[in-house]
Amino acid sequence: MSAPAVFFYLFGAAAVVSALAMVLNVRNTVAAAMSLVVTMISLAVVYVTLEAHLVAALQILVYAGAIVVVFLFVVMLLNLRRDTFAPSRQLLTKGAGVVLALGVAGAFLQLVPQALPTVQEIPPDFGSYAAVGRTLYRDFVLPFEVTSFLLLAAIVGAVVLAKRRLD
Amino acid sequence: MNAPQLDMAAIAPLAFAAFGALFVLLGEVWLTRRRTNEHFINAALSVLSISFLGLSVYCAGAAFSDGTTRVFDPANPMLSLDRFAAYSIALIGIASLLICFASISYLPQVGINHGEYYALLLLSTAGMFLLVGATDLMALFLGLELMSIPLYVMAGFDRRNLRSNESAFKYFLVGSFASAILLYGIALVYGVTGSLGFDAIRAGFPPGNPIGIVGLGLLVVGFAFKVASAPFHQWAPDVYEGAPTSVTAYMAITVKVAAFAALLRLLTQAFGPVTASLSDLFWVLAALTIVVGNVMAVIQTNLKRLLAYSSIAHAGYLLIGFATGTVEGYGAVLFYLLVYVFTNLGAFAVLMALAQGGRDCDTLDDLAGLARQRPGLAALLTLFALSLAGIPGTAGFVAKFFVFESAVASGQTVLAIIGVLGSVVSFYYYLRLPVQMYMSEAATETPRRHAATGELLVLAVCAVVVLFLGFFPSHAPGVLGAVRALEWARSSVAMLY
Amino acid sequence: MVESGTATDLLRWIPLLPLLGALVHGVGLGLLRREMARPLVIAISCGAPIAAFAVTCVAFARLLGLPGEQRALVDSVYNWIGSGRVSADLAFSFDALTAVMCLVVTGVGSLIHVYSIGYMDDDHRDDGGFQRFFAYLNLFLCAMLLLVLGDNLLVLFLGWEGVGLCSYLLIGFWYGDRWNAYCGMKAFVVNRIGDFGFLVGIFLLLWSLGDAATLNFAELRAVLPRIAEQTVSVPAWLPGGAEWKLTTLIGLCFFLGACGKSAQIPLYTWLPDAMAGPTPVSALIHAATMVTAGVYMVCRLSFLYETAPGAAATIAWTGGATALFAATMAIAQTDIKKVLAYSTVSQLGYMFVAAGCGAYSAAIFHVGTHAFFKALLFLGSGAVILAMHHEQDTDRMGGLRRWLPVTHAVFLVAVLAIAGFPPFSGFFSKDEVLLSAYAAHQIPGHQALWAIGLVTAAITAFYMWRLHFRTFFGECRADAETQRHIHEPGWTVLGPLVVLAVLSAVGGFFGLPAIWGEKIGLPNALGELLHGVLPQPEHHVSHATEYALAGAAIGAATLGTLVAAWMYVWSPGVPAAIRSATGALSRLVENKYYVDEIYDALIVRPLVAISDRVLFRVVDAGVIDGALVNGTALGVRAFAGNLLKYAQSGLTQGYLVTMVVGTLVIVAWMLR
Repeated sequence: MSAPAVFFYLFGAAAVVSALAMVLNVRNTVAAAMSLVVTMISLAVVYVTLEAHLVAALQILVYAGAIVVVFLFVVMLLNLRRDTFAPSRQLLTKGAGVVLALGVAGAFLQLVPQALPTVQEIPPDFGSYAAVGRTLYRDFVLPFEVTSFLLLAAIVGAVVLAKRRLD
Repeated sequence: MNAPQLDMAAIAPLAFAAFGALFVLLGEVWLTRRRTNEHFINAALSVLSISFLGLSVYCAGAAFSDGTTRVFDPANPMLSLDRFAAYSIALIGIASLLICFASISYLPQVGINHGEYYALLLLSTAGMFLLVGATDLMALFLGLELMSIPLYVMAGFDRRNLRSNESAFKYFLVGSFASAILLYGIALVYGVTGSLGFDAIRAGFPPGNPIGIVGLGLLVVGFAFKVASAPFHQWAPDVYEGAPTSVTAYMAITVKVAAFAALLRLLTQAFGPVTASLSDLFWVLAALTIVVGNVMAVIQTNLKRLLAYSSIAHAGYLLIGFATGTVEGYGAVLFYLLVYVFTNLGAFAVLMALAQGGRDCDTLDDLAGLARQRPGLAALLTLFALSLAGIPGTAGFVAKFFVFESAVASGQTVLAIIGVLGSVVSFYYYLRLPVQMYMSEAATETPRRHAATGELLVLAVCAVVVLFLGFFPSHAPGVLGAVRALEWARSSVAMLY
Repeated sequence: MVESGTATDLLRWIPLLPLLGALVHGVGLGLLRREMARPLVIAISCGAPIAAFAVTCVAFARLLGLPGEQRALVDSVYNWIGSGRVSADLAFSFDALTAVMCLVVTGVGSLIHVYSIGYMDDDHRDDGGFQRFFAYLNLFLCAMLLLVLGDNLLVLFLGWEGVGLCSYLLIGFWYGDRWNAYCGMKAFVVNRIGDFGFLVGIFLLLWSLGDAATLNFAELRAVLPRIAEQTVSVPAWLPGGAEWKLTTLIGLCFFLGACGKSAQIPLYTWLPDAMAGPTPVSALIHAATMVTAGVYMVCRLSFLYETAPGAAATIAWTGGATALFAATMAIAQTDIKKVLAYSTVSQLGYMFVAAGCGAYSAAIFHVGTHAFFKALLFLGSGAVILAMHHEQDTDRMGGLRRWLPVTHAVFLVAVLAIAGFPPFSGFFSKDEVLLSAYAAHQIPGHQALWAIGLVTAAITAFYMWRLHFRTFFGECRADAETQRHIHEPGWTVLGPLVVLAVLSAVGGFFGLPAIWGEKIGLPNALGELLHGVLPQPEHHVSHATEYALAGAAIGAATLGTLVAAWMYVWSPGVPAAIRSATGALSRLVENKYYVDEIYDALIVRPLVAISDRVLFRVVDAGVIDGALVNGTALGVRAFAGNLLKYAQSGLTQGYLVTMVVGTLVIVAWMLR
């Protein structure tokens, strides 16, 4: 097994474990947020092993940096105490959730290997800044522009919902 | 490296709506600086939105009569303005435009006249325009999100009202969940075909590949959520009930048109060869949706919930068209959507015209004695209820007849019978509206306000269309001879093949 | 394309004139926001049906001038639902069958409009009730004329739904009274069950005809032989085995529609309740015209039923059973209009007996005579009700012939007609019906059916005379104050009564059966008119038998009359004695066999329970209780604290779980 492959599986596993740690940790909100950071960084490493360097850099900047910081701010401002979220009461719901999750995972583990097409050769400049730029601004110019409107909608929405003035 | 050859005309309706939103946002700031009269600002922004939507509709109309297909970027086709897109855009655009008209007086009545309303409405409409023209899964998903995110906010626009908040939050949670499912479907389809474009998917979709089938299934589920088909309908009554009436109207009407149109294009252009295998799935969804929608509507006392279940039932009738999988069936679906828009819009416009003093008219009791106080509104609401129920002579009957007939023609007689049974049940709850208006006395005689010009305009348009299409669905005499609604719907579908 | 008749532009005016009347009233009320001057309202609303009657007469004269047996006028206005497999014009056709129905509808309709002027005169509500009433009445007439004039099933259905809607509006006319609203609703909902059958019939017809699918009657008649021999599999426990003729199935579907509209078992329960509407409405809609729409439809589709013996037999026996059952229910009613309502149900049963036995022209003959005498009975009862200040209970009437001599006289004519005494109209038409049952060898147990008809005739005579005696004879049981004010109504009320009395008396001579006509040299005009349009049964009955059957009918009527006279004139103590002697049985009859209660317990309540308990509580996850009541409290706390907690109210989670399970089921099913 080559070095990138080792890193791929190692950090892939780390991403899954830390994601689980975030979801299952309902007592300590700050710890959950930190688990999220670990997930994001692990994913960034996975991108690096897949030679998507730009995406990896953006992953660190945007998710591990900006978004988690905002989360932590919210946690601090709302001053959530440890006992704010009571653990789910219904054992049945929990059990059903676990069974569903395992069932879906099992089904996919069984289906994916037999069904996915063979991997195609990636072009030499894949993941480079130039290639990403070309893709974004030429091939995907429409989605790119629409995304800006999507963000505008989200901002306007956030302002509307958060505006102090209620008339 | 050559610059891509872009056809700007293909995105004209989308661009007008999206840039209209920017103008509305800027306009509000500009007007607030100069004028303090909120009603004037509200009306001005509404007129601004209406003009931009009017431009979009005009572009769509021109593209429709032109009949050619324009692709935004032929080298990388993601969005096209063809007959089908133009039909859907015109329908959505007209509905949004009429809702803007009715909102002029409705928003101040319930005290939510903020300029962002129109900006969000325009952005959402732009998303729908993208959705119905998308020929690529990425554009489709972006359209879906651009349509949905403003809607989540609009549902919670009445911030002082807890139900409105509840509505927004529920819609957001469930909607995000559905988006995730849809996105998963897109990922799986991309996984097996290596492409997001509809044409490439059609060429490269491996029949019998389980991952591909799961992906297709998840896509259908995502749309089933958007159109509120059982068993993915539960959010609809809560969300419709809590949202302000104009937003409920917008959600119930335009979203359904956009989602059904997009699903139609997806099934014919991207999954053409495998769509036939979905017939059974749509059969079950249609039957289930018709039964659940109609039976649940029977016991509702809240008008918006009643209309929500009614819209679920209508989604069921529309799904019959999908179960047929024939051109006739899809044509019937498009025609049904046309009728659905105007009938529902009329019904909601009456409710909007009855809102006053910060309160929505949303229970059956609020209608008591309406025939005495506002006979015109009562008569119109009766007309729309009858059309929703499908009384012959109204557009609703003709639309149902075409859908059921297409089911019979393709051998789905049992499904047509279920549809007929559902519409029989529906008479019971639709007739409760006239019963309440004509045969009950109001408990307290609060004077009702007069309907505003904008509302009257919307009501007049809807009533005329409902009656006109009821008698002239395919041909019209005299100067109206150019109106051939059924033909328009059919030719729009035919070009997808 | 089948050549269906001579083109003309005349026919569209027949339904259009009443429609214009309704529109003028509606627009007038809507725009002026108050009632127009009463003379103007009267001129418009009564002018419309009278003009329609005149146009019908012109069309009829033209029809008679045409050669050939299957002659018809056709007026195709435009292509209503076109382009595609099925095309339907908004088209009217006027053949002999339509002509008879049209003449009855516009003729009797005009009389009832005139009568309504006097009847509704005391309606002084401030919201234009008088004008609204006439608007609905005109609208009803338009719909009814669409129904009988329709050239295809869709136009017929347009009228079919239209008359149902107007009937619903008119039953609930006196709003403010929840009972009326309920009755209107019930009529509409029960009718919708019938409409379900009608629509399924249409779609089955379209499905089975395949590429030849059409809805036009003339074309249907031509292409129907293609599917006449096809069979469909049905559950084996149904009568007739696992294989049914396709036409039988379609015919039964349409007959379900007819059952709803014409109040036959099991869908008759709405008609007695429909008496909550104003009396002219009962006369027009629930006696003379709308309720005969089912009979008309069966006759219109006679070519279908000729190939469907199973369906025809079902019709005949349903009609027979309804005739007897409804007649027994009429025995114990005291409300004057309820008696007439059950009597209508019973007489409609007779019509279906004839139609089922293949004697379609006899059915239409009875439709016509019944329209005359039943409209007369209702309008006469309306005159009584007016005179008694809206009292309908015969327990508080009696001896009214003293004050109301004209009403009494015309009512007597109507009673003689419905009881079946010669030479009044009812005798001849009923005789035809009974004869057709006696001679219908293709119907299993046709002689038993005849016997049922005969017994029903006796019961009919009994309850009609009982009603007559209790209303007009004996001592007046009203209080003195009411008695002082009893007086004969005005000429707008009495005029139509006299005209209808004349028609009830001599109406039978339009369709005089051959055995009587030969004696006095009068031909069977109606029979000859309908000969080319409707299939004729092949009688193999000797004249002697026919005379014997007629004698039996007269005997039955006389017997019923004598019993009624004995019980209610000669020995007034007898009814009470019988009631106490038969206890439970008479209570059963008085309560109409508890059918309403049974339906309520078997159908309505389970349905509500399923909707409320099962679907609402389980599927809808207790939204009202959970989210709106508790949820609001939760919402308050959520806003005080944070939104996230609010999301944990558990409901949204439930929705998501449903979605996941739904998704998994769908995906698993697709992968199977």
